[in-house]
Order: sequence, then C-alpha cells, then structure tokens
Amino acid sequence: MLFNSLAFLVLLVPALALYWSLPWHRARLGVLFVASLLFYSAHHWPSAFLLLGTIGFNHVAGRLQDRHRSRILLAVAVCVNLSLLFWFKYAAFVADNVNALLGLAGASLAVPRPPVFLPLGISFFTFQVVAYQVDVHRGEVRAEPSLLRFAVFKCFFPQLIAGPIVRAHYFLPQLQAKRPFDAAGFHQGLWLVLAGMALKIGVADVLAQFADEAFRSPGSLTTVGAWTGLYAYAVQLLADFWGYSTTAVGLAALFGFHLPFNFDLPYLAQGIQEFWRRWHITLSVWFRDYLYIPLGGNRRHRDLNLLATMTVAGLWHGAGWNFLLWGFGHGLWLVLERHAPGLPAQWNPRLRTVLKTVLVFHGVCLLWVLFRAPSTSDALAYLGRLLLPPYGTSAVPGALSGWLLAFLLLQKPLDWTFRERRFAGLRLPAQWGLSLAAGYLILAYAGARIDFIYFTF
Amino acid sequence: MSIVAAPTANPYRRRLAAFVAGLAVLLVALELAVRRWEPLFEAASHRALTKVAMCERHERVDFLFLGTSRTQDGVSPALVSRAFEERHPGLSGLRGFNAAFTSSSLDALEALAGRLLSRPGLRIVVLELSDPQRVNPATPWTGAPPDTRTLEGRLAETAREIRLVRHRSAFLSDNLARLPALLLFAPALGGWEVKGGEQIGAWLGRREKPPVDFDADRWRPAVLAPGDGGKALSEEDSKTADRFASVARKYRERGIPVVFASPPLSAEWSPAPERDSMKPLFAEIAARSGCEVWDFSSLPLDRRFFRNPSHLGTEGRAHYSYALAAEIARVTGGR
Repeated sequence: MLFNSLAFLVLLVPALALYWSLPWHRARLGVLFVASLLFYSAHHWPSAFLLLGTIGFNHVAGRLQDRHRSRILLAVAVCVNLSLLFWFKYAAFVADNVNALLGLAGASLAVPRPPVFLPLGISFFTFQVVAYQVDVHRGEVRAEPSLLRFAVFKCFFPQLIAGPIVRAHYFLPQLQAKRPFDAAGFHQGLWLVLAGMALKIGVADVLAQFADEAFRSPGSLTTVGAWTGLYAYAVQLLADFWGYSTTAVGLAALFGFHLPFNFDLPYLAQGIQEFWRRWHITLSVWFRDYLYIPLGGNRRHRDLNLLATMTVAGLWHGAGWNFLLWGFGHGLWLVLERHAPGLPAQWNPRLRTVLKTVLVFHGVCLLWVLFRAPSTSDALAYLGRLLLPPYGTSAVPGALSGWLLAFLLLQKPLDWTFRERRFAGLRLPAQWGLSLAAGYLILAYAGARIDFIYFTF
Repeated sequence: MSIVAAPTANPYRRRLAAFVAGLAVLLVALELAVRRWEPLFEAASHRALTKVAMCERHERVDFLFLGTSRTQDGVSPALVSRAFEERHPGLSGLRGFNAAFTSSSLDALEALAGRLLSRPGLRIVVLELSDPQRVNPATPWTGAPPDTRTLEGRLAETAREIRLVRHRSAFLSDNLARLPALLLFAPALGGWEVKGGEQIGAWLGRREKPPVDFDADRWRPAVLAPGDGGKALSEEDSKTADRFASVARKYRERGIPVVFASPPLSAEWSPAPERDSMKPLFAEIAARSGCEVWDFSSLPLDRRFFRNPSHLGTEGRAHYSYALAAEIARVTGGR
C-alpha cells in the first residue's frame, strides 16, 4: 500500500479515529499493529508471514540476549536477519556473477538462480532489528518484554517500509505508556503529511518524467540535455525520499509519536562528509554505529573503514555493480576530502561557501548517474554525454527549469516549516495558504502514481 | 524540541479546530466554485475542449476554422472579417472563430464535430488538410476510466464525485493558464491568440494589422473540385479520405458548407507530403466529400511570412487570412 493511494486513506482515517477513541493503551497498540499488518499485507500478503516470523524470532532472541549477553546469540540473531536479507536481495546477484565467472572459466556448471522477490522494506526492517539485537547485547537498551510493544516497534506502518530507521532507545520508550492527545503535534503532523505528499506527487513525480526520458536514451542527449536530466533526477530523488520521510514523521505525529527527520537540506552541504550528515540521516548513523565504528572508526585504518563502510552502504541500496561502485565512489570521495587541502582561506567566505556547495552538489549528481542508470554500461554512457565531447546545447523545457528553480528557492523555507512546531505556530491564514498550495500540487499532479524510489531498496 | 511533546492546553486544540475548519470551508468553497463553473473547468483540461468552449462563448460565429497549430497560428478571424468589409461587402459583418489547436488529430475533428455543428448560425467550416492533421495520434480528453475491479479503482471512481477531483487536470500548470482565457477573454479572442500577452491585447481591443501589399494572385490556392477525384490510393489513404469525408458530411447534413484548406508551407520545409505525396489524397477527399480543397501548401512564398518553416508568422497570418476571405467569398458568392 502506498501513502499516495486512496486505499491508504481508507486505512488511515478509521485507524486514527479508533486509536484516539480507545482509552486503553494496549488496545491502541493493537490498533497500530493491525493497521501496520494490513498496510504491509496490502502490497503482497505472503510477505506478512516473513514480517511476523522476524518479529517472533527477534523478540525471543532479544529476550535471550538480555538474559545471557552472549556473543554467540548475537551472532546467530544477526546472521539469521542478514541471511534473510541476503537471500531475498542478493542471492540472485551473487548467482549471476558466479555463473558469469564460471562461464569465463569455461565451466559447464551453473548455480541455479533463486526465483525470489524482494519483500517490501526488508532492507529497512532488517537494519532496525540488527540494531536492536546489538543494542541489547551492548546493554544500551533492555529487551522489550511485551511482544505487542515489540511488534509495534518493528512494524509501525509509517516507517516500516522506507524508514526512518528507528532505534530501540528512541522509539520503545514512546510505546511504554498511553500517549496523550497533543493538539499542536497533531496539527504539525497534518502539515507534514500534506507537505510530504506534495513533495512526492508535485515535485518528484513531475520531475520523474524528465529524468526518465533523459536516462531512457542518453545517446541522443546534448550536453545541456544530459545535465538538466541529471538535475531533474537529483531533485526527484531528494523530493521522493524527503517527501516519504516527512510523511512518515507526520503520520507518526498524528498518532502522538515522534520519529527522527531523515533529511537536512543535503544539497546545501559544503562537503561530502556534511552531505552524509544531511542525507538519509538515520541510515548514515546506522552505518556509523554498527559498521564504521566496529571496524575501527577513526582509531585505526580510517580510510579503509570509510571505503568499506560506504561500499557496503552502496550495496545496501541495491544488488548491482553500479550500486557498489556508487558506494565506493562516495567512500573514495570521503577519503580524498579528508586529505585534500580546502579552498584558499584568503578567498571571500561567501564565495567559498557557494563554490563548495556547487562543487559538492555536482559531484553528488555525477555519482547519482551510477545510482539511476539501469547498468554500469548505461551509467558510463550517460557520464560520457555529461563530460565528453561532442558538446552540444539544446533548449531546456520551461517547465523543468521552473520546477528546478522553485525547488532551489523553496527547499529551505519548506524545511523550516517542518522543524519543531513552526507550522503549527504560524498565523492561520499562512497555514491555510500553505496547505492549499500543498493540496493543489497533490490534486493536480496525482495522476502519475509512481512508487517511492526507496521502496525498491 | 520534538514535534510531539507534552500534552497541550486547550488553546492549541482550538487552534487545530480552527485550522481544520478553515481548511474545510476553503475546500468546500473551491468545490462549489468548480461545480458552478464546471463546463469551464472541464474545458480547461484539454486544449481542444478549451477552443470549443471559447467558441461557445462567442455570441455569433459565421465561419469556423479547424485544424492544427498551422491553422491556429495562420488564421485571424478578425482579419478575415476585415477583408470581407474591405473587399467583399456582401459578407460584411460576418464573424468567425479559429478553433484549431496544437496537435489536433483526425480523431479530434471527428469527436468535435458533434459538438460544433450544434452551434446555430454557422455559414461555412474550413477544415485543415495537412500531414499532421492526418497522422497526429489521438489525444483523448476523457482519461481512461479507473479499473473498478480493484479497491483503488473503486475508490478513484467514487472520488470522481468530488468535482475538484474529477476536473483536477484543469489545475495542471499548463491547463490552469487557460482559465483566464475561458473566464475573461474568450469573447474578445479570435482563437489564434495563445500567448497571455496576445490574449490581453485582444481583450483590451488591440486590432491586428492588415497585410501590406496583399497580392491576391500570389496567394490564390490550387483548387481541387469534387470532380477531380478518381486517383488510386493506398488502403490507408483511402481510409483517411473516408474519415475526412465523413467529418465533412456531418456538417453538410446540417446544411453547413465545408471546404478543406492545406495551409502554406515555406520552401525550406522538407519533407512536405502536402506538396508531394498527398496530392492524390487531396483530390480523393474532394471527390468523396463533395467539398473543394484549397491547396496553399505549394505556393512559392517568401520566408518572411513564416515564423518557422511550417507555421506562418504575423505577416503571413494577415496575408493568409485575406486569401481565405477571398476564397470564402468566392464559394459563398459573396453572400
């Protein structure tokens, strides 16, 4: 089920009404659990059994871990979770590559390709429970004794399939007692849902047409056409995931919960390290805490750790060489940034800020080519059109430049309204105006009904 | 500070209630407005419907032009009327409308005929005959109905009861820009004005300049009369000829004369099937429809008349409008 579907509204409105009308905390948790299961099953109902299985397994494993603090138990729990992820997401990729190698070696053997599908959100909820198991082992959180509370922690529908990846110490305490109705939080939540959907439908889905067209036949693009297509994709990707995450935070707020923001104006970053502090923040923090630091972090082999972490982060996004190269590229850039001298200090500070922002944005864009192109060879073809002769110009569609410019100018004020309770604190006419603007984008552009990009990860 | 915090006092609840109530009132007001002006919102959702609605907002339309952007850019009904006054007094006072639109297709001509021929007072209809008018794909203005076998489809079908939802494509930025023309300017427009400045100018009463040194002989088209047919056509062209003839027949059955016109093209426009391979089709359409075909496509005209090789510019529009006026006067006998 998609947030941008009418069926979701049919689930959400009764769930909200029932949730707030029930006086008992456990009953409210029950509503959340059932709504989450319905939400998840609507996409592919057999996947719900996988979800229920991992809930049961991780609840038991967490309880045992809490009691015994065993590295073996931790290894078993992590391996089981990652095995599921590996099987569903990477087995086919590995089989394809093994078969390619066997073919090169002239072997007549072939590894059978597992006929698997990708359960929605498996990358997200696997990372969530791996973090839970590690945190319990480290003693940073106590295992949740209530199966119902644990189930809601694991499958709370606003964040179930594309994050934010919520940590146990952050979310489990919010499930301990009945949440009082918080009018200002609800008010802010309504705006976040509206604005998040407007970002998705009115920005990402509109720009998707231009980006898809550019990446469909890069060979026919001029240099200007290739760059504008890439800008369209860069903004599409941000608006798509920022929109989803904002909607998720807003939906949680409607139920009285707080989820962390996942984006902090990443295209305004002045360095690649800063970019990763602003882009998909909960994933970056996960990789920092559960891979980078255990590998040695800043203490030893820092460059290698950065490369390894970012390469794995690339693979997390998708089973393909292009994702691996994308992650490795980011790792390499992080290493280079650490060692390279900055811009001359005597330069005008404002000029340095603008220059760094523009350079980082364009570097990130170039790496997005690997992320978006269907294969490595397609990515190289697109990069060729961006960087290599023959250089050519073509008219930029007015609609595209309009949308890009509007996004460039409005992203900061929009983000401002998301933070704290600023929207709820605005004067009512401003609130109505903003809501109508968001509603307009949703209404006018709702025809495309494109899946959220991160659903496929 | 998190967005969800401690329980809030009543003022926040009142503020939330005011926000929700105000938003609901605004949405209801918008819904009522769309219901009140529903035909206009429906018309704004597609350029073909826009043109028809604009035409319907004219009190009187004696002559009508239909076709693609070549006709839309190329014909000024006001200048046709002016030519009548100056050169064909018997037709003085007649008013026309240019209902041509970009990417018009044969399907569109067929679909619009039913609505346009119910318009009283039409004296002549000029249909464009060109390669794009022949080959452009249909761009239906009624979207595909929702798939009611799915829950989502059934919900979408139900949601269409809300007029804001039903006519939501009118709110797309391109379509939204048509609303001022529909709501305000339509009665003052001849139909060729697609830019905001042109529409405002026409609304403010700006008059178009007549052609300078109009040379009627130079702008006289090759006329294919109904008796000129009998050419062998491919199966596909034969079907096309039948469809054009069928459109013409619909008007003629209501007593409205029809002519086909192939608009001028610059010499550099290539390939130009109108000048080459379409001649037998032109003749056959004339024969099957019983209507004349005015072929302007082969006239040797200066590049200055065109804004691009296949579309007339301001000067070209003035000359072509006068040329069309002369031909209309000829077939109607100046009456």
